[in-house]
Amino acid sequence: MPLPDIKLSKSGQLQVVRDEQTTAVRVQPCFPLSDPDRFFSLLDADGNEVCMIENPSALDGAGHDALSSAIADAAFTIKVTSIEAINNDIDLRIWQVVTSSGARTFETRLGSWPRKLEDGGVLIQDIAEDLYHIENVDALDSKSRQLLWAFSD
Amino acid sequence: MPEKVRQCILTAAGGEAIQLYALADLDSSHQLTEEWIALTETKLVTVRAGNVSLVDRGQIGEVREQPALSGSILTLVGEETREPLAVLRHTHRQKDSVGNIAFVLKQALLGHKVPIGNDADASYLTSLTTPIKKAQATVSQNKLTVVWRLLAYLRPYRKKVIIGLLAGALLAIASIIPPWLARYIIDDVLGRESPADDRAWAIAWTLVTAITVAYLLRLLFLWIRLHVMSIMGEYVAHDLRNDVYAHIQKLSVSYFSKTQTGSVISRVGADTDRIWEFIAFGVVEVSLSVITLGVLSIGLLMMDLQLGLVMVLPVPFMIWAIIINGRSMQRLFTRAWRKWSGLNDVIADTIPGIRVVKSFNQEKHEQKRFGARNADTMETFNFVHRNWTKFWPLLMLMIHLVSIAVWWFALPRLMPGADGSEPDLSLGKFVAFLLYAGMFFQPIEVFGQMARMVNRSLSSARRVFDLMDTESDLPRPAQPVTINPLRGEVEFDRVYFGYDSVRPVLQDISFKVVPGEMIGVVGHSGAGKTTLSNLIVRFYDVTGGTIRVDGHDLNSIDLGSFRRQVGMVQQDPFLFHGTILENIRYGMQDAPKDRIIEAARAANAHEFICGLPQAYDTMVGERGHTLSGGERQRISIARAVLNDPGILILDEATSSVDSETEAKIQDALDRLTQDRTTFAIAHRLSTLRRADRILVFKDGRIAEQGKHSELIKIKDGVYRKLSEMQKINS
Repeated sequence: MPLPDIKLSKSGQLQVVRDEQTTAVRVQPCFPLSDPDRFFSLLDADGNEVCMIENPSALDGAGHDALSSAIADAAFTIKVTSIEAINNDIDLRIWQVVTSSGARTFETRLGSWPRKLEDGGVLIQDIAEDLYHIENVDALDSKSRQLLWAFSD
Repeated sequence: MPEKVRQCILTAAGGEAIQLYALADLDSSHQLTEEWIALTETKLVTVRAGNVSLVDRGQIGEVREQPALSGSILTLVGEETREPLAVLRHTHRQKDSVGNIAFVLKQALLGHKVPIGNDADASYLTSLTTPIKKAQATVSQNKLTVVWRLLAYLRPYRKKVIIGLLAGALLAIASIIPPWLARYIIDDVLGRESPADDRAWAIAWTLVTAITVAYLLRLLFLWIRLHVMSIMGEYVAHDLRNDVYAHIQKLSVSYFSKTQTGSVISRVGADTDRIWEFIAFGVVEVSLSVITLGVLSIGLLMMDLQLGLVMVLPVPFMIWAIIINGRSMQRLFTRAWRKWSGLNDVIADTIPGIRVVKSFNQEKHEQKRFGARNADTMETFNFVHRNWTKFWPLLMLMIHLVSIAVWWFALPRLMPGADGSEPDLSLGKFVAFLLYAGMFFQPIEVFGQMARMVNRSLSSARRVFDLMDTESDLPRPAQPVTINPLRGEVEFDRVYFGYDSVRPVLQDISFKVVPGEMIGVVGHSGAGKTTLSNLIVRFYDVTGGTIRVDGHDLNSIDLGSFRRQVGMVQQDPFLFHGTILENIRYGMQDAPKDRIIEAARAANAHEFICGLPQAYDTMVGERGHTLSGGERQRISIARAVLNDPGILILDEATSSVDSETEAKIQDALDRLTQDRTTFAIAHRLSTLRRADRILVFKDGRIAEQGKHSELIKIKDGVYRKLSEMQKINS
């Protein structure tokens, strides 16, 4: 199947043009954690799939830029660069971290453990469902690694 | 919201009050930022780093929300320009507050005005703290407050507390006596230069007898202390459990929908059990250890200043070592706990899903998965053991070193002088000193063991008190009106309801039901049908408008008396662990047997019950799992109609049973609904043909109402569409 035409509307809405029909879509990465660079489902307002883009780099210049920007927004997770402290409170664990977006404090449930990803990274989901991604544990400073040791292998 | 920002917004909005506000905490390059968004009657104002932007709400033509993995983007598009008026990025932490603003703007575009409370701060705070409240008890109580509150539960047992503490103090004294007497045996009997005579023997045996008595007394006081405090601990835990459970019964349904069941159960069970531990052991052990350590320190220093200092000076260092080790062990235990829960996850996954495992022939895979986690868990626990087994011998080494230091300083003083002078230190005093030294380090070990237990117990106490401090959000009227008997007239007058302060589930609902009328309630999933039934029995309070029953405001009616006269049959009937008889008479404990049979007959349940070997005395098992869905439903109908309710609510009563069972249940319901105000919420429209009136819900509003024959004629009507879809599907 030929690749559809993808563009941004004046209002910043991602659109798919196919058979002279324009549909407003949003992008949903199919494997946001295990294969973040491939397989993107473009869904209309009702959640129906309009098309699937397996590899965004196959798109032309403008379409590629529009989709890449939408993917960056849709797949955004907070990247942790160091861990300052991890303390327990009643029923909660409080993490003080530095991220590539800035310093942040968040809470997780005591029984909710960081998730080890296929690529060796670690993902922590806080009680508000925000995702904190440690891409490479070995790249953390020794204090951060020591603090994380109890929570991740 | 910072005051400075608030002032900026109020100035920009020309003094219009802030209805809602939120924080967009991400910028376009995904950096954390603070962009405050405020909604007023006619404007949307954003403030970031002192820069104010103003959007006229009338200009907004589209409100677009784009969900992302860790946040969302809210885009407001201009109606005429079709260009973005504002692009607001935020993390999930802000999703409720931003979502509230988006909801109000979207509703405005549809021509609906959402009634908003006048406390924007409370609304923002609720949106931010809800996830924390769901996950946690509370952090508002400090430890000291909790200890005092907990100790207040000892008040009814103060005699026992005094006996327990007294026994503990006497135990400590009885422990001090033997070394003290040993000193006299050594110095005054064994150390005599003259040969032993009868008097010396008499003194020796008297002292040995006294030591024996001291040991026996020690045992007695130990037994009294353990016995009294452990039994009293149970009394306190019992009182707490009763108080907690009684309080739970008073809480409204909304509390249980916000709180996880497991959390409530653990507060009544595990948490009160930990508090028993604190009362039975923590209170006495810790206080006595402090006293023992203090008294012995003073005693040793008074007995011999030099040796006393050798003993006492290392104590702070040892306590510090115990604290540091405790922290390090906490880290190890956390890792071990994680591994253990990983192992449990495999079991919790595969045992309920064993059919799937077997059907895909994955037994070996599961074995391997479990084996790997099991090995990992064992390795981690062995690591823990390797660590703690290293620490305690090291601590013992420290203690031994102190003992050696005592010998080191004492030996020169125990030797007679070169000139034949008396030794500076008597042998008896030294032996007594050594015996006291053995006791001296026990309290330090107790601190190490108790610190973890006391912390855990105090956390439990905070959770329990948090639950007990939760007030029911259904205020009781000062002078409740009792309606008995209930006629069954129900009126909804411009009723609004929402589970949060902004997004309503029901909007502008008005209808009046006369006694004996049967009302059908239909609509798509999430249209607000079940919420309607929850409001009729006042599981929740309306957020706007009034519900009247027999002419009285529902909020002014005595709830207990009212609910006893309302029968509810739910889609998934809940039966308690007990017999069928107990389940049917749950709402009327003293109902005579003939009325129970009558109710069961009316529910078409009598025959199947009599077909069971133990008939009405059959145990139904936990949640009635030994019965089929249809049987459970018919028992719940019998329970609902036992006390002849004035209002009957049927919430999808026949939706989860097969056609034959449905016919039996429907037959029973047809009889029961005659001349009784009935609200029948149904998915299958065929069950509502007998309804006097049908209310059709759509997006929380009544879209249509009338008889089946009238509604079916409305072209493009919601009811007609639903009916056509069901015809196609059947």
